[in-house]
Amino acid sequence: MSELLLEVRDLRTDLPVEGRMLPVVRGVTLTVARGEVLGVVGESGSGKSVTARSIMRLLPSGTRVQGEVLLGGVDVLTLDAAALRRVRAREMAMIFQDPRASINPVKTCGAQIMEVLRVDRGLDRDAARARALELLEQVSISDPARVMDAYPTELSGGMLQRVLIAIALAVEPALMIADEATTSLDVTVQADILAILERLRSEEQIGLVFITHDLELAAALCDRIVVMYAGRVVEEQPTAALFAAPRHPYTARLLAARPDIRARQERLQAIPGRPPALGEIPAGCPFHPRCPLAIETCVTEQPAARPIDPEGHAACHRMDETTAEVRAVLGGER
Amino acid sequence: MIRFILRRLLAAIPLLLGVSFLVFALIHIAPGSPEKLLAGGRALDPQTLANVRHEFHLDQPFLVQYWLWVSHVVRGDLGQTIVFHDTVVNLIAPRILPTVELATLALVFILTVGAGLGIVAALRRRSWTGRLTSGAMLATSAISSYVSGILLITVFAVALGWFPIYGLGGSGVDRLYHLTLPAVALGMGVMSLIGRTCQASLSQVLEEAYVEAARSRGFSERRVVVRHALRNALLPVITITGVSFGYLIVGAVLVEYTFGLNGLGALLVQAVQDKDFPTVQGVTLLFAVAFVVINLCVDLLYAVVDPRVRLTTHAQ
Amino acid sequence: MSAAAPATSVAVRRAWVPRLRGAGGLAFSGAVIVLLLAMAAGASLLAPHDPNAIDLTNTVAGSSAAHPLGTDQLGRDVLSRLIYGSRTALLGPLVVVVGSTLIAVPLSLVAGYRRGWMDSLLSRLWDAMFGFPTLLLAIAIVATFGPGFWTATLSVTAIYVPLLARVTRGAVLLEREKPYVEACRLQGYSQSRIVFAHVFPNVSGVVGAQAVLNFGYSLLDLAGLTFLGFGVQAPTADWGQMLTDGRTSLVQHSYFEVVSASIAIVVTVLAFNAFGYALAERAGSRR
Repeated sequence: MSELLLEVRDLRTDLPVEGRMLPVVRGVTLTVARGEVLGVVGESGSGKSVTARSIMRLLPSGTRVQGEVLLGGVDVLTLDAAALRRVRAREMAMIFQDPRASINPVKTCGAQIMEVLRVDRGLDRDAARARALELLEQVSISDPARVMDAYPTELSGGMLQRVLIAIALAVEPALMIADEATTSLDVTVQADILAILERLRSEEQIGLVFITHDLELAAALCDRIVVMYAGRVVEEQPTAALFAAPRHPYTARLLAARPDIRARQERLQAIPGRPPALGEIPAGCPFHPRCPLAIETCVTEQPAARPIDPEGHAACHRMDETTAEVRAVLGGER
Repeated sequence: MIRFILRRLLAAIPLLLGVSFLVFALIHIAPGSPEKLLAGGRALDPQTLANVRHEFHLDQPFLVQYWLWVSHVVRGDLGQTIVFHDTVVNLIAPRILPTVELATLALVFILTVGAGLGIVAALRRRSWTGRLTSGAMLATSAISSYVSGILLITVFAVALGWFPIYGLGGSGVDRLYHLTLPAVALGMGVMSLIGRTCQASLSQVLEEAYVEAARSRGFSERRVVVRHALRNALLPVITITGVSFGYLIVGAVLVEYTFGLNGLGALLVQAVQDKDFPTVQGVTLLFAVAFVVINLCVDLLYAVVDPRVRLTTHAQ
Repeated sequence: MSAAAPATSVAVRRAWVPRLRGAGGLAFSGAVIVLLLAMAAGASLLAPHDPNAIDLTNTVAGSSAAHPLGTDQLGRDVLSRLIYGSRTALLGPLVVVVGSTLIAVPLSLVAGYRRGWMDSLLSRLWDAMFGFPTLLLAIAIVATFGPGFWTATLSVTAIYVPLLARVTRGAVLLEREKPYVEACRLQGYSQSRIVFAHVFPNVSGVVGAQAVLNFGYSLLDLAGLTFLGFGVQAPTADWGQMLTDGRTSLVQHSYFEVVSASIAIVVTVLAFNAFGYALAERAGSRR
């Protein structure tokens, strides 16, 4: 099993909110192999960001994290401060949603890339500069010398995100986590960033966790997709299979809710209701208030993750039923 | 960058002119004719008065007088003091150093103690250390420099006898010893302001996304705080320091009077009491010009430290 | 002046503004202010002695039944002087605040609304005045006109005009862009009607808060001027005067005069600052 780059086992994270500890991630299990892109899809509040931060251990003080996060076989959650820093400096990196907020505005881009190279990798100034230029080229920046000496205010959002990817690459990570990395960018720029990530995956065999709320985007890049709802994984399948045959009503509804550019629709098929707020997650299956297939068991018992044939898992009491009712909801790709 | 500096310098010139104009105009607003005032309120015969009129160009149109006055000032001639038979410049010159020493010492106190307390309060927010330092800063803030001066004298000079009550002392260490209480009194209010600004600013910066991003790259906490958070957090502190110079100048006047220090502030007070107009004008002008120049330097310093300022104003 | 300094809607100077939240803060500081007013008004009833009664046989005395706070270097009762001192302490700032408001607010309302040459001219004037450290200008004015309670008070009034003018102008500039002003214009209201009947009530909250804050700050400035000998002249009882008189008592190890006057000043300033800040919060939250 040490083939797997990342193994998250039953991750539970509680955040301190106004004096109480609220469970935000409630038992998440997932895996990423080298050179694989795992998509983590869910609405806001589903716990996907906190999951990512739990893996990197970038959480506010007072947070309680339980479970295991095995990176190359080593449990990140048990590392002391020094060991954690080493792991962050050598093996994993993260890119965030707002590139402009995630970069230090008073230092040049080049200085920030070089800082990583000199502190984490021990390069001297000239070597760091040369390598920084290389990294900028790797993220498809056509004029790396100019960008090196530019300040963040002088660059567009898309360029900044590329610079941040370059900084992340300087760490030479085995695992990269992209938390809504393209959400705040234009569609055309999004495509560029995705292309860069795809290249990194194939050329450097970096394992990538791609977090997004946009299913289409996930489909474009990811090998497998994990769907999260209310802090739990409700379904996990290879991309094509997920789109063709979802096994959880939530996934099916998400797929159905996408506006189709080809067909004309009278109304958008939204999912009725809203995702539960942090402190108000219902007992049983968290989706049951909004689920068209909910039955008595759903209200009282949490569904466990059951395997899908040939690959994947889903957590729904009725996933194995073959009745017409279930088939109608889990219709899949139109 | 050069363009930015030039633009700022150009903006300062009208301000300097305005300030000097106000100082100059005062003597003409005052009750009584200017020549009588310049004669020190003493009753003089008409001939002497006419001489004074001529000597001070009071028979010329107002703006011409202003121009003549400015041209004298620029050449370093601030006129004659009424009280002593000497030039204003000679009165001012020996007193510049004590005031500068006082202000510098106060500034050192303000920046080290203020920033220090502020940083500690921000980093140790939740612990007792943090809360104590925060409280200390609040406690010292509402006290104006003459009140703090008097209280410091009361406690440390009179009651405890640790420090001298009055005077500048000799030079070197003795001077430092004599200037300690005055510098603390002068700097107290501003120190508190700097400390609280620093605390608020650092607390906010530590929440910023790029600080978290820096942590994610495996940098040590010290590097994250010092190289990333602190540098950005100190920017507002620079601005506030600049703005506070006005209070320091005013405070210097009060503190010098309280502690019997023979600096520019004490000279000003004395000159007002003696109705020595040229000296009052001279010292006021000096202070005001210093104020404008210092603010300009602070602006420039801020632009050097924060590239966003020069880049965005350039775009405008 | 400095492009880097952000503009705040209410200009809070360096003294700490106690952040007593909500109505409680308003009530508490308001109560302190009322007590001070009572003390000033009822000084003749409260003070055990005549504040100007000199008794050279009993100078710099310690605390006693007759003189709870001792006597100063002319034998005058410190407590009585402290109580009577509240009169100038409150009257001076009152004149400053009322005076600066009466001058600054109408000018800025009109100038800020109309923009144009008047606004430019006034802004230049305020800028020039801001080019001075505040008290320095007051000292210069006192030098011009001679010391005394009224000179000091009026010169401090003069320095507060630019501050209040700027705050008012800022608020007016924001208000005039709002849709209801446009609506008034479309309805054909005269300019003065718009400015005084519509814009003014909406900026009065911020302006009023600033005026109250200025009370505390101007008290400090006035006491400072008196301390230097430029304000209230002897023998009138005044806290600033007591601070400077008290220095001689200090050498003889009598601290009452100095400490009591200091506390009086600080408490009064804090009370007005807290009140003004609570008002500012009210004004801000109502938007």
